[in-house]
Amino acid sequence: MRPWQDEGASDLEQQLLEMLREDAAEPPPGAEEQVLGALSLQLGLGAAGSVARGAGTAEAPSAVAGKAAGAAGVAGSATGAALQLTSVLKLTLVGLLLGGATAAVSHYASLDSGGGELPRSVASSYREDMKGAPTKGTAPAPVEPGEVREPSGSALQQRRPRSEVSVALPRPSVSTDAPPEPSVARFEGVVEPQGQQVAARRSQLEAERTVLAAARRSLQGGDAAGSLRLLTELNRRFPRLLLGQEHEALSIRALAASGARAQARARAARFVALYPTSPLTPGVREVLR
Amino acid sequence: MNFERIYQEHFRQVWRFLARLGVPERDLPDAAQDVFVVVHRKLQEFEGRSRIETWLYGICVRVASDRRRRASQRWESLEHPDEQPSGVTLEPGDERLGLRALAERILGSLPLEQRAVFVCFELEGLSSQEVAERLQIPLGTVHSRLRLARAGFRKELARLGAREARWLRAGGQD
Repeated sequence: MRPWQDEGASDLEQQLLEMLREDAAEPPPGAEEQVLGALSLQLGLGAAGSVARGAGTAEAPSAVAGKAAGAAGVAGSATGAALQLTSVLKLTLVGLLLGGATAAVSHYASLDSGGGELPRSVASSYREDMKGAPTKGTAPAPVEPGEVREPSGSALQQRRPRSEVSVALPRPSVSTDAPPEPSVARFEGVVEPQGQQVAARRSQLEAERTVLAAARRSLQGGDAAGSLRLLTELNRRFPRLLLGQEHEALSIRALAASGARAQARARAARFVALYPTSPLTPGVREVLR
Repeated sequence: MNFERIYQEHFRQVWRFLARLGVPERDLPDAAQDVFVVVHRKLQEFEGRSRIETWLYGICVRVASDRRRRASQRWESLEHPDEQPSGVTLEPGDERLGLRALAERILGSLPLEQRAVFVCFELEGLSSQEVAERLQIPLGTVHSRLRLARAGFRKELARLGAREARWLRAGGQD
């Protein structure tokens, strides 16, 4: 087959395709090393490219970290750098242990044997154990010597909080439509007690609701500039808004009312494209009319 | 070929492909980690029966598929709009952001098996034969999925509002 542009793609379709081509996501600086660092801990990477199979299956995080730290200098330069990085960060790597990894491998196991179709069974979901949800189709992790098999469906939950091995990419604001995430031990190594996180979240939510209500009243009262000030201040105080959609929808209306029509329309179009099914979209769409 | 060499030579490729398969930016480190966990565990069994890229693409597709399924179970979308910061202020000329978001959303509407073919052929620039090899599917399947993906892309573009897109493309002019 020939490329789409040679087979009747419209100008708009071609332009969108071109944007997608240009938009190839490159790993941010440090991502490669951080993922390798996490892999080193997860897999117990020792000498370059060789791993003691089964390492880390039921070890405590400190033991895993210790093993990885001990491997520094033995592994290749990238691994060494990653381990150094993880040491500096004093990361608390929890969960994501080989039990889960083994299940994942079982799921993806047929990849080099010609099975190219997408999987139809449910794969391992070792990071969903925090919910205690049953994991369908997961291969049971092998029982290592000394390991006490925990009840199915809650193995990691009882062991420790799940791990979120991620680079420190900026976290976007989260709509309340999304279910609250369980507490996670992040790469930075800071593990807040779940109660504190919940309390902080509630407090932020309350603050956002209060300010959004005030901004809405200002807008209804004809004070678009005042409304925008409140909204800007709210976003400055909470860069990761819990009520991001509501904030953006109100900002768009306030911008339009303040006379910044072009900016309001641009943001409205973006909002409509991003949130086509949001209950706020019909109101935002009005700005485009 | 040892694990470290594969990692160093293909990490960027894996990252990009996962992103194009719709894994959200915030999940890319985890997804890439998942891919290389599999690579590490299965490396000895790989035995070079296919090209390393073929093997990696297959793993990427399965990892992305797995994540998409799990995301849907959590009532999330992989293309969840909260990937975008809410407080972004568009300056004149930044309307491309809107178009790009639209393009990504359309791509996100495609079933993963179609998306994988579409990405390989239309975005990565592989030939249909190469796509068939990379994804280990018959050539006829590549063609049928590509046709379906293009039709889906066109349909979703119409649904999401070609008017807004045209307006954005025109720089916000009525």
